[in-house]
Amino acid sequence: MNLADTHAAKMEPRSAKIFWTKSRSKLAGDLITYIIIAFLSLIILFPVFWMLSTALKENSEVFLFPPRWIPSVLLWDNFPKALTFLPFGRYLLNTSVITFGALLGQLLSSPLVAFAFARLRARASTPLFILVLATMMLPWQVTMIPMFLLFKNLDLVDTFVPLILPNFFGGAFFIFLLRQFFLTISPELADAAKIDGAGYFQIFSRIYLPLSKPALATVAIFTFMSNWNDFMGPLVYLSSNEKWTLTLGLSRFTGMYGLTAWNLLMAASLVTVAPCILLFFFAQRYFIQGIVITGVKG
Amino acid sequence: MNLAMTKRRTRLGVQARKEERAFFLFISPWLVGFIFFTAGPILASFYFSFNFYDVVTPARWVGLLNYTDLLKDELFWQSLKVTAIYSVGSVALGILASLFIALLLNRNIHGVAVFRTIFYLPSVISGVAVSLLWMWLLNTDFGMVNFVLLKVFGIHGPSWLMNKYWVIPAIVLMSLWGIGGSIVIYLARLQGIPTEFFEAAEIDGAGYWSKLVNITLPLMTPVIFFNTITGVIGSFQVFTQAYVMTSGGPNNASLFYVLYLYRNAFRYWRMGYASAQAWILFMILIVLTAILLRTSSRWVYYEAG
Amino acid sequence: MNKTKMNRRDFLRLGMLTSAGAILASCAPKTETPAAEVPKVEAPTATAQTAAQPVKIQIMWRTNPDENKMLDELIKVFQGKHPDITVESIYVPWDEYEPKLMTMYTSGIAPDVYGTGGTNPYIERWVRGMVLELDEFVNAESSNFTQDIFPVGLNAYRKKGKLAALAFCICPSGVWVNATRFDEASVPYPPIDWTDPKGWSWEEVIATAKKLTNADEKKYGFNPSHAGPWYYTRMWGKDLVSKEDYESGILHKIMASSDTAVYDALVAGLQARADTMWKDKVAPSPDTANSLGQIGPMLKTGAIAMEFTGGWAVWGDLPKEMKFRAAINPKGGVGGSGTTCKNIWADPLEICSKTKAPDQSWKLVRFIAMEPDAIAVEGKYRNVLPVSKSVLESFITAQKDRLAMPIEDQIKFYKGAIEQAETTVPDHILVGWAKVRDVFNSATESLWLNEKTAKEVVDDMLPKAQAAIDANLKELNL
Repeated sequence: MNLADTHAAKMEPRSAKIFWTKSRSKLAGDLITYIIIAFLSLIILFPVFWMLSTALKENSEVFLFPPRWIPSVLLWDNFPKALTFLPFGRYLLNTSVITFGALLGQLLSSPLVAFAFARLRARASTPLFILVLATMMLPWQVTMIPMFLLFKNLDLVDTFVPLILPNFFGGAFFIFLLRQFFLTISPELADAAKIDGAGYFQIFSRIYLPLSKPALATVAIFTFMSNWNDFMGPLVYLSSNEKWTLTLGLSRFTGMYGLTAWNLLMAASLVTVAPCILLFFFAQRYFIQGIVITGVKG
Repeated sequence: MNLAMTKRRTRLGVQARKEERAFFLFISPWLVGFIFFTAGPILASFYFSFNFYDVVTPARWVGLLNYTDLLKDELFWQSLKVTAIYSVGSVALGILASLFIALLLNRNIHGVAVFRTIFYLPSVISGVAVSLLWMWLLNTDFGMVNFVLLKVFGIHGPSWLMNKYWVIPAIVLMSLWGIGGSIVIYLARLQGIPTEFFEAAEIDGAGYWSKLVNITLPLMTPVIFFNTITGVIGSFQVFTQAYVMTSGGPNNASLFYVLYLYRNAFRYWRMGYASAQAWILFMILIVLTAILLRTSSRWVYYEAG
Repeated sequence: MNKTKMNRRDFLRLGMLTSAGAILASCAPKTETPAAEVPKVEAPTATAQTAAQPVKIQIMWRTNPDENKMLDELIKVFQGKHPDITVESIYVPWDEYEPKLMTMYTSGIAPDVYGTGGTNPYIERWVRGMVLELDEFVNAESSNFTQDIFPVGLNAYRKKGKLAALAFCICPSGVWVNATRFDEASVPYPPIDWTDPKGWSWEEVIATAKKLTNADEKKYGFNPSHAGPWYYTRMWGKDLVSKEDYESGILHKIMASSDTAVYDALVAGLQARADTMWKDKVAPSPDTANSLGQIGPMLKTGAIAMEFTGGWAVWGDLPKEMKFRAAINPKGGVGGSGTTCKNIWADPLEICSKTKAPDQSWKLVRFIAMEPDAIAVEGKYRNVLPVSKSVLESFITAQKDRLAMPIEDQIKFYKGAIEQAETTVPDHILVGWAKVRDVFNSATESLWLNEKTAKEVVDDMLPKAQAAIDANLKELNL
């Protein structure tokens, strides 16, 4: 029997199978799990509730003792107020362009590189992999200025290019992540495919990619989030106010001498978070392993 | 003629050479990016570490002076100590906590997608707002953390951010709040473990704990390894929290390594000194990573078969 | 086969070296400027010829909701007066201001005018050749200009005889009073006359504060928000910085290291501040201050009755149920034998040394600093005082309802504060102060937390401060 078929046959949706054959001990386990998770969730959400509570307050009410959870007046108005304080619509557009560009670039490049490190043998493989990891080890503070000069010499400052382009060349974090996932896929599958005459790219695209949906979804989630929330990148490269991103916009709410518009800052922060959360929620479907592999034969 | 002489340049077979060519083809995006975007700034910072450089005037060569001065600098050692303690605490606790929660969130309980989103949410809220939020939560007299500790447990919480013993635990606590990312990675891996292993084990009568230790955890080791390495690398470069919340205080008890580096670079006009700091950090991380990589073959299982 | 491998490796090496080399080459600014010499203003270019297209200049400012609205309006008014000049504003968060400025400067795209930023190392920029010296511009102005500007404002940023920056606003130091708390306790208000040789002493402040303190209710009489050793040394009659260093702008030593009288003043002053918290118990401990401060500014909420700090204590929104007043600084030393510190804050504007539009940049600078219509706009958003003598009274009058003091008293107070001031604060005007300040801050933390005495802390921090100064001078090759 073809190994790939065996493997594929076992990858049934776990949810369907488990639900109908739950034994009593499983139910008990689920109940305990539920209690623990619910409890931890409350702790996790605690600061978030505080953010929401603050967002709905008047600025003078933000800091009171004893802390007041429900504001005396629910200022839902703070949300539109925060969002119209600055051209957040424009910022949203800019941030979206940058983020989706980065997402595309990362998804196109990192899997290819990761596949090489996971499955293609070369003498230079280990030293190069260490080099990949090494690029994560130098703090950005000391490479920021030379990097800026590089883009300045290419006349690309005050554009989105420095923020999007590097993603098309892979990111060390994602290369490492995908490499780990690729390594968990049995090499026998690739070997069998090779015997059948498949080229490396076909092995990559027809075996490795489909089997790595959760990993790819994870890369997408992380890339989206890190670019959506990126502060230093836009700060350094973007000067014109029309090119600003959401994070830069958020920074406009702060100022010293205790003059931060807390309620507006929290309101705007919560709204900014929403797309990442939505993406995550919908990416959940890739976290249920479905039936995969349509077969290696071309 | 001598086998030893020819050993160095082993001639690869045709198949191996094909594979090598494919290797370089596949990594070419990263390689090109590295050569044109990444390598230059890295080499530039290396060069500057041997100079007096304030960014706005020309650099002056001083050889190893920055490095020797750093080794004599007590703040350098203090910042290294602070960061190392934080790293051990946050990585160890982070791995344990995120693994535990990921295992729980892997079960198919009702509404699991909502719960996963809840745990992921904190890691998405961006930097400064989070730090400001926690500054308020950790307020000694009026913050919610001490309020809850008092009302629920009857303990008088410490002055978290102004006490030299509690400031690092406080920042570790904050880091635990944001472990959503590692949880997601563990979940992704868990979803990829073929059910046939569990079924085979169940047939043999294995209970929950046995399945966990003998099947799940070993199969998780590739991503545990990933989270450990990236956790160490990341924790050594922690910056925003100390910058916003404590300014390295009290009395340098939370002077994180990169915070001190940032000050040298942008407040004291000593970018050369800061670059030397960066390269020392780099060397430390390379050594740590190399150790982790070397020992990984002993505990990391890759083959699914 | 071997040959192709060589070529590939060589290609990689070549590629990396090329990009590295290109970056290094451009990291050094195009023109070499030795530290002590600063580019002079060139003869005004023929701006008449280029009058067809409006000249564009950029001004960079920190993010702050009120200040940004103010700048936007100032720009509008300015452009109305000068249709041949377009001004673009660049807003950067406080903490990222300096890194961004350094990055832009070294890549040749610095803004023409440096506005208020985060750490504001104005003289550090000057010593490194980042700013244009303004003497030629000021000298070209009519005598009205130099006569109308307060001397302390004009000369605050004059180093080695050269004007590095022009102050455009003044913030006085003082003891800011929550009059409501005084009224509740029936305590007479503190003095407001800076010209009175007697003034009031530190001991008198403490005595007043004691009547206004009730620790159980978390209400304190006094908070010395100034915590820097520089302030207290001056108040105790000496100075940590030598006259030559003020004049040159370069910090060479902390006088307390060599002069016993300065040392004693430093120790006594710092101890006095610590005593307000732990011995006299009229001021909140750092922990309590931090806690109370997060609820709201302590003076405004009434948690403290007097605050020894800069004028920002009474800026912004003031709660309607409280009344506020100003008072003069106490004299330090035993029985008021010291001084009132005699300092103000004066934020300046600087012009980039590489600007392509120096005249237009100066026009913007003088507009913001001295022209009445600009000052009127500033008064709408901020309470900081103008540097122009002629506008001061009307400025204060427009804002007189903020303080519960008759208008004549307010004018007397503010004028007195400005006129008796000798200098602005060291981190704005001394090269090498930034690290010294951090050394001081971390060392004195043990003192404020009552873990050490002032003498122990001073003995610990002086050598470290000197080491920092020496390292800095070495880097600057001075």
